[in-house]
Amino acid sequence: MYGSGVVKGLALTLKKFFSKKITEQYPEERPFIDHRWRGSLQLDKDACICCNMCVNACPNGVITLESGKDENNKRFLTRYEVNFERCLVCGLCVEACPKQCLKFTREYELATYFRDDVKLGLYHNPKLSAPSSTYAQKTEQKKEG
Amino acid sequence: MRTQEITVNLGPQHPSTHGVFRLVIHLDGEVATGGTSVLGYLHRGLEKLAESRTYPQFIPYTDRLDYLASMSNNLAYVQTVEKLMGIEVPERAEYLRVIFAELQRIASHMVGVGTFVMDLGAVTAVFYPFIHREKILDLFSMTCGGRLTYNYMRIGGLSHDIPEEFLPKLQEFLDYMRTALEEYHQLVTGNEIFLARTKGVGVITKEMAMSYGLSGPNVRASGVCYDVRKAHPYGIYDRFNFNVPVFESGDTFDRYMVRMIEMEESVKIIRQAIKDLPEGPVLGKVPKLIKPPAGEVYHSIENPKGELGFYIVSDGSPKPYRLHIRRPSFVNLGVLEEIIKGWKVADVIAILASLDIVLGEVDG
Amino acid sequence: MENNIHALIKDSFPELEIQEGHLQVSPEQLAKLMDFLKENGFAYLHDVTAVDWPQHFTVVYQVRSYEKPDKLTVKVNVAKDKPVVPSMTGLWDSADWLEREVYDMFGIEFTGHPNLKRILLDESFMGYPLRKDFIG
Repeated sequence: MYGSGVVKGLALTLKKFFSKKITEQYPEERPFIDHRWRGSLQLDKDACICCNMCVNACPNGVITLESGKDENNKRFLTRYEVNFERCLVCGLCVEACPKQCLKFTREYELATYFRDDVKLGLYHNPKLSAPSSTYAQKTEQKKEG
Repeated sequence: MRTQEITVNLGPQHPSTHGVFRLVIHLDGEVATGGTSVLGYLHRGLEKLAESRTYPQFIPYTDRLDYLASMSNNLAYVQTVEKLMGIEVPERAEYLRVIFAELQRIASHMVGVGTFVMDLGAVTAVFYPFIHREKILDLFSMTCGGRLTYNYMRIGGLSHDIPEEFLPKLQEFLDYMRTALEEYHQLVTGNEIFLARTKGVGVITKEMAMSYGLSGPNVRASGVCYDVRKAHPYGIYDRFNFNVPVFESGDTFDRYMVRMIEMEESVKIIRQAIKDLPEGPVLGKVPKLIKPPAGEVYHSIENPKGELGFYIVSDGSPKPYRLHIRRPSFVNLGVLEEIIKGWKVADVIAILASLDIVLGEVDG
Repeated sequence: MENNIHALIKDSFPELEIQEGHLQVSPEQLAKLMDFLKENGFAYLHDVTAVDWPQHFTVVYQVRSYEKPDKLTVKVNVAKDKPVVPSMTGLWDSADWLEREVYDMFGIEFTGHPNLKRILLDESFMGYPLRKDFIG
């Protein structure tokens, strides 16, 4: 019968109309963010050995790292900035970090009011309170298991 | 009464061009007599950028080619570099690569058919595939932390192993896919309005398809049985048992049907891959500094949109001397100017959508 | 299968050497060779691109068959001061856009092309960005 295809389709949409809703009422309802989420970055600056591995791994060269030497000839960090405007969020820097002090966070609301706020000054504001992601972390197995 | 041909700009900012693409249509009344494609609005010069990046650093850029199939783009690129250097990939990584590439194919075809039906005016039909695609994106994001630009494949393997909860979730998804596809056939495929709008519209004949160098679902809808997975098997695709759907008439309906059936075949491949999935490492023995020997390599794989190829010329330094990307959407789009002739404006949009292009890939 | 077609090319073009599916020809020979390949089942012009070497440009064609697993890479060296190659648009329609892209990026001219204009970049763009001496 001509038109039966349309009726069949409408029957499906009617069925779906009464089924469980799948949309999330954001921002009242918060979405689940995966453990390996690549959001913003955080830095444990005391653990950083200033090896420049993250700087060399970055395809776009968005990381600026400056360091000084103390009396024991040990390097310490004096500046660490990530120009998040040009960041691809690819995770190559986090994977390159031998001390695992550079980590992703599980933040996802990264819009800012001012353009300057996009740049992450991780030396002055290491954002250690943000929930950290398990992306490329060796301890991941324990945490997830 | 004086009559004249009029020219209409479709795009660059137009929802039905699926990106920033401009089509100048010449109209006689409501019927298109020809068209001129204007592209390049999203050209970022990826090939030039590659010359100043090291080999691993270029992987995230391949994500941005066909951004609905980042996983497949990653795969094509890393396999090319592996072929150039002769790197062995661990078994587990090979199987996982197949699983992810096929999941990506389903996700890309979901958007392809969804937006195609939406461009015919049926907005309901776009939401159902997006619901299914969302489940695939959840699987991807639990594995590599990204939902669109994955950057998951590495030269010599993968960046991460799958998390524990991945396989049960995947199994659940595959069972769900069966009902999802049935539902979609019920919703769209039998619909008389849909059939009237698509059957016989925008026909690409077999000769035309071959001459224009089409690949992927577009060429298979025109009666050419060409699938890189079968013709030039790469990775471990020769171990799987699957069919290549081929349709004869080459109209928009056939292009839609090829994609629908390919999704079923992808589910089959994933089921076989899960069954044989071995244990072991996911990243092989790779030198710390990726420095391929001087030489050149060409490698292509079957992407959801068509045949994606990478041509790399190495001079022995850590950066490619020349990297060329053979982008399937770019070549497939070439046929558009020819096949819109004689169709009304509304059909032109349907024909464009049925080619399933992504502008990130067209413009490179 | 592959050796079959190699033998066939060897018969018709004895002066050419095939190494691992690569074929080096001169610009004068190109049209004749491509015509021959098209006649012998290579219905699929897969890709056209170019490489900027210090002494010359190399235009690289990937030709394939839809039915058989035959693959060939055809390479043509062209001089830097006058980069001209015959267009393949008469044989394959896919050559149209692919050659325009090469023209756009390298400034290599394809004689006989019906519509040789820039394709990805704007008409007013100066220079050819994929050449090594291009300064952006």
